[in-house]
Amino acid sequence: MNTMKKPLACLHAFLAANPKSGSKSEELVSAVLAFVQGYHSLKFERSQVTLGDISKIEISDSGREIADWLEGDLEPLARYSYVDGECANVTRFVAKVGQLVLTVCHITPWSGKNEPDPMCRLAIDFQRIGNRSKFNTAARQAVERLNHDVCAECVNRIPAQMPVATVAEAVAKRFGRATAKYMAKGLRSSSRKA
Amino acid sequence: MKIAIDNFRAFLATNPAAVTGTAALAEAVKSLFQGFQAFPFEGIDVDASHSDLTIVGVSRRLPDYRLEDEVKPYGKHVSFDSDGDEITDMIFAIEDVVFNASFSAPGYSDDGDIQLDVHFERIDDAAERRKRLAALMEEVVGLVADRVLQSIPSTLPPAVLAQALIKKFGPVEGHEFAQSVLAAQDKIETPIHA
Repeated sequence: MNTMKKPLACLHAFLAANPKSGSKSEELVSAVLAFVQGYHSLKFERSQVTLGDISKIEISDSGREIADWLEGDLEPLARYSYVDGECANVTRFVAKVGQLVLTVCHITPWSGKNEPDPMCRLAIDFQRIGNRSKFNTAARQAVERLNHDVCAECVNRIPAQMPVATVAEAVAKRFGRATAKYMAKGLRSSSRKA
Repeated sequence: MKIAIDNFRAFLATNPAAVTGTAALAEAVKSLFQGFQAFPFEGIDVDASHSDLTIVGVSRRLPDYRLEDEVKPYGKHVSFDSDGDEITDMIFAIEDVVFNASFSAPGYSDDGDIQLDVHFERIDDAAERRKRLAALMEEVVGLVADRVLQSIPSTLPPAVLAQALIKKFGPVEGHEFAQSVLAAQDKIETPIHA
């Protein structure tokens, strides 16, 4: 396990030694990539996209276990694992490392019988924020975004033609009495607003 | 496949005494499914009541188009369970025998075989038969809803989930949904997730 923690220690060291490296700086992007690379013996191919203050690294062929390793070291603030509409195994979580807010999404595509091992994909959004209060706000917003994205994705899988009463019963079964009641209240208030 | 169905029809015509629960009907259903594919099944299990069959080693192509083309199902649903298995539920009738067939194809395992669980009932009266088909369809839709909901992480915040549901179903149905969730609570004695 110590060897697993080494990449994280290196990232912390980089952040401490480079206080001015912002989210969009090439050295921070490289440091985050090196952090992920530290868990894996294969050389990653990556692409990078910058969205406002948030940088995103996308890695194809990331391996199946990397999400578990990252999750083990990063202690997520929120984390979800589920099978998506294309039957891929998806793990998504938000974590904090020093002044970084990380949003991780790992996808293991569905592999049919007699098909080659699927190529897993890993995407990490990250944002560096020095101000403690802004940092906490950004972390909270990242968790909220994650909650919304996962909810929307899951709810979209419910077939549209399915009778409302049937879905309602399934929701009540799945999420229990107290939660169902809370949801019903939320739905009623949303209905009034809409 | 057509020959298998014709043979089954001939059996029904000449064996009015082969009602639900008889070994003769179970044997005919077994032959019917065996006739749908060229290779033999790996395992067949008939329950004590002779109205349910479990067959392992069914062709993957069977539920997709071969069976569908021949029997013109009353209803069909494809969904994925939380293990990533692809489940095809099909309700159909051949003459006066009603079938509720569930094909389960493993998503991640390479060595898994497709399993067919089939429930069958012989119902003389046409009106009763139609009623039964509708009831089975309702049952299947409920199962599919449960399956879809099971794949939604149970830790999602209920308020966010409620918002996603209102978006999906719209304000009017959302209100109906809210009422239905509350009504459904009364049906549930023990919540799965408190």
